[in-house]
Amino acid sequence: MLEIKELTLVRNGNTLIENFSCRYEKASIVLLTGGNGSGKSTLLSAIAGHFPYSLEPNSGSILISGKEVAPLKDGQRAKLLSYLPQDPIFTLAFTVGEILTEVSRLNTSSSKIRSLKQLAGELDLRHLLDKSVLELSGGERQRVSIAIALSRESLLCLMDEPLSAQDEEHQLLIGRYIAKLAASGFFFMIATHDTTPFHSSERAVISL
Amino acid sequence: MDNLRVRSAKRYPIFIGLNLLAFLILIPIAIFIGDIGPEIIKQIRLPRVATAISAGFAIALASLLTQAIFINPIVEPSFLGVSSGASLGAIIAILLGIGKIGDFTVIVAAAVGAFLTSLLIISLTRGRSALVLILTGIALTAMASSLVGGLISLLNRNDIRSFSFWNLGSLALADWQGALTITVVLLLISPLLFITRNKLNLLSLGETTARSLGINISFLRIQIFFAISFLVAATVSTIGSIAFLGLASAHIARKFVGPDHSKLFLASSLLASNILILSDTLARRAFYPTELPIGFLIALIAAPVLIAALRNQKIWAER
Repeated sequence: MLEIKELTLVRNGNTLIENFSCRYEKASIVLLTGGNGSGKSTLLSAIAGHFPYSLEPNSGSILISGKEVAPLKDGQRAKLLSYLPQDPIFTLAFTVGEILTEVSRLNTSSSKIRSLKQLAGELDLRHLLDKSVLELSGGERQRVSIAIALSRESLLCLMDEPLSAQDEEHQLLIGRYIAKLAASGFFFMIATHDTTPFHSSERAVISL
Repeated sequence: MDNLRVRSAKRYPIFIGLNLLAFLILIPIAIFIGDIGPEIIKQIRLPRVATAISAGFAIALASLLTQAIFINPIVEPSFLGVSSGASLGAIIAILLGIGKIGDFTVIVAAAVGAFLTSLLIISLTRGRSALVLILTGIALTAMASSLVGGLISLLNRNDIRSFSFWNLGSLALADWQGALTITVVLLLISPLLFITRNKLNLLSLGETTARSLGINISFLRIQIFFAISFLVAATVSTIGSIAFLGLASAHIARKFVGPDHSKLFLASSLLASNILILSDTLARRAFYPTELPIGFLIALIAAPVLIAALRNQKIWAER
């Protein structure tokens, strides 16, 4: 499913990841831990195709379902994976319901769309559907971003600090939902400082 | 797919209805005001109103597309140097003898100027803050309009029109050809608006999220720059550059109908046309027989809207 071979990532002259290799065949939750600046975000961004890992001074190979990520176009990559960036932005006053509907309308990828109502329920967004995304709290906005990232049933989901703005109750809620999705065949790679909310029998932790 | 839209659906038809009503009132006033004969109405007033309507649409759409593609709801082509780039392209083409004002070749040259400026500003500011975008835009505008002003005053030729025309705009020389040119550009780009509306909505989530959802940003950017360039080129080479109009109508329309581009395109276009017809009538009649440059009046009406917009913005400035 996901295979990384001898990956070296250099950002602003600092080697963040050196000769990193890993291979996962079946669905699970892989947690990336490590201090600030340890390379968690850069690694996720490289797998998501946003960091140019195939260009000097970086090197190595990232394969998803046997396909090298770097040469893929955005549309092709979106069929394989979804990605929650660390600092998602919202610039227009769409309501939560509107923006989720817009996401589900996009027909760039053939991956199946999850039920928006169910997603809104699982992520405790139901009461916010008619609220502007610009008026939400940091934690609420983060849950909308998680819903956007999970709106497609892509096999691999990359999440950069999905719980950083959540209170304990919502951390557990999101952790449980992700464990449920992982149990039903989806693969998650999550950068996080706190591993406790993610309980799964197929859990692995990588310390960077 | 289930639909979670919950915004009041009535506001859109009400906003469109009110604007059409304003059309019905403003257009006859603009055509018949003053003591004039049928020849003036036919030769001058009708093409002038037709130009105002089509230019209002083009200016509004160019601004909405600029805001969407630069992911910043308080910019417009004249803030980013794109309008000045179009003026420069048109003037260079005229000076090289490629054509005269209103010719297709000059409009293409203006579009090339606008397109190159768009590419320049995105390559200079991509991934940087909203502030860097706006300040770079100010610098590019200053450079391009200095070149325009320099060429006009050095060469002193009648056929390239005045510095005031290129910077403040005027409908005084509007004719049927100009109105027709803008209308053709509008018709040509409208399929693109329809196809890209959903992607432009999602671009408000930032480039990284939009790309992750599978949107090919590079291709979308080229398509939208192409549309903006021809919209700006057609208006700038017909009525000059009018700042603040597109920005103000986009902001007001968004307040009423929400940020969805499938509603915003028509709502903001109708509003901009109404403001343009009203301002042009005022520019002609307020100090009759002296005609004010329309850009002064528009800025007077529309610049306060920018100030209001800035006071209400929360998130975009954080980028």
